[in-house]
Amino acid sequence: MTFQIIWVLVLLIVGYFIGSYLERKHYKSIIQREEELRALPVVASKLLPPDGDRYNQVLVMGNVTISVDYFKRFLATLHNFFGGRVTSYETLLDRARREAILRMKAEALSKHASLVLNVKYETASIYKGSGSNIGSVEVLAYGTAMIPKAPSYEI
Amino acid sequence: MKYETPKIPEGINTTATHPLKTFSVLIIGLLVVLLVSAWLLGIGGGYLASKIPYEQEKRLAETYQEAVAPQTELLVYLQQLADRVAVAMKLDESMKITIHYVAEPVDNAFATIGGNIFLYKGLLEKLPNENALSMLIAHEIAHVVNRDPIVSVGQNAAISMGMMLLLGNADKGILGSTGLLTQMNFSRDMESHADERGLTAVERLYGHVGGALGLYQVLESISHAEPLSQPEFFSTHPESDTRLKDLAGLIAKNEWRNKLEVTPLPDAFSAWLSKR
Repeated sequence: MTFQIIWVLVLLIVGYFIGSYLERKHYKSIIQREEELRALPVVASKLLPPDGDRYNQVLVMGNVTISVDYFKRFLATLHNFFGGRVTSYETLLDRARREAILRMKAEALSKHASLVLNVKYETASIYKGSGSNIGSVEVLAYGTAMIPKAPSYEI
Repeated sequence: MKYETPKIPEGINTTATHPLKTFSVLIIGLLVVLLVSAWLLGIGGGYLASKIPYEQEKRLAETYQEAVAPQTELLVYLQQLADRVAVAMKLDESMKITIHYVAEPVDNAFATIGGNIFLYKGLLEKLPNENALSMLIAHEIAHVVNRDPIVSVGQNAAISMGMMLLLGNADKGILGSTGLLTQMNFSRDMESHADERGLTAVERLYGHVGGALGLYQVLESISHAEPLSQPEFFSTHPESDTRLKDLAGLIAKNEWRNKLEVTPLPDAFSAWLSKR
């Protein structure tokens, strides 16, 4: 019993420090890349622009799976007991959505797109059935990249 | 159509409260909930258990009964003394007290369900006279009369059942894995009441209370000699100082005679103790 309590405490401390270090690092990278890719508009609208026939349309997507640390999961269990906002999972989902959009944008840019339309998210929790061992979330962002056609010279 | 890409402010989808703060608030809240529910369960379980008829309690204890111990001279003497104390306490006919002697060098004695009282060699060896021994037996019989053992069982059963429901952890049976013929945890209130009732019985038996408080001096000297390993008799018991003070107050209030000749233990008592 004492051993179990010590073990949980060690996991909590290790989980907290490593988890928050990785989270800070990830946020730094997200903010930096968002700034780099900000010029590319990403919108949820399905409507083609009036000059839509001047674009090639390609499906682009970005996919990411992020896991929670032990501390966050423990905190979420406590939240489950009392109710209320599960604050410890908020940063997890925020990071996953932004990372997925960034990866999708990177793919779109590599195809020289100038706009991504009809952007949607799919979210899945992984290992849902395997008890409380692993808690991770998968976010898929996908959309239609609008790639300008090479200018054609008509006679 | 013109699309803009504004800079989105940070932190709009997350909570700014530090996770450690949330953690401490929640964990303290959980502990408070657990303690309060354990306390309420204990009170409820103890109350219900105190309503169990003594007959039923005896039947519960019988299932854990050990083989009948051989009737040594010591056991006969202790049992006769206990019967005399029981008469002095005006015990109900149905409440039969059974003395068990454990030949182990442990400074302990305890009462458990079904009127079973366990006396250890270690403690008996240190008692100076019969009055102190009667006080010890009377204290334990008082627990039985007050129904303390079954209340303790009820409290533990209710608490462990509640924790099992809450934590989903069923590694122990409801009545505990160690069986029922083990030491119970009595509250300080229970101990104080048993002290008072025990002393009253000793006064009635001998006509005075001389030597009875010798029991507490023995207990205190044991805990002084080994400050790290408190005798188990003391573990949940009130501070010996306050106990002695309470009992002295009781003696003064009833004007019981104190400094009278004590009854010695039988000559062969120490020989009986060391005989296997």
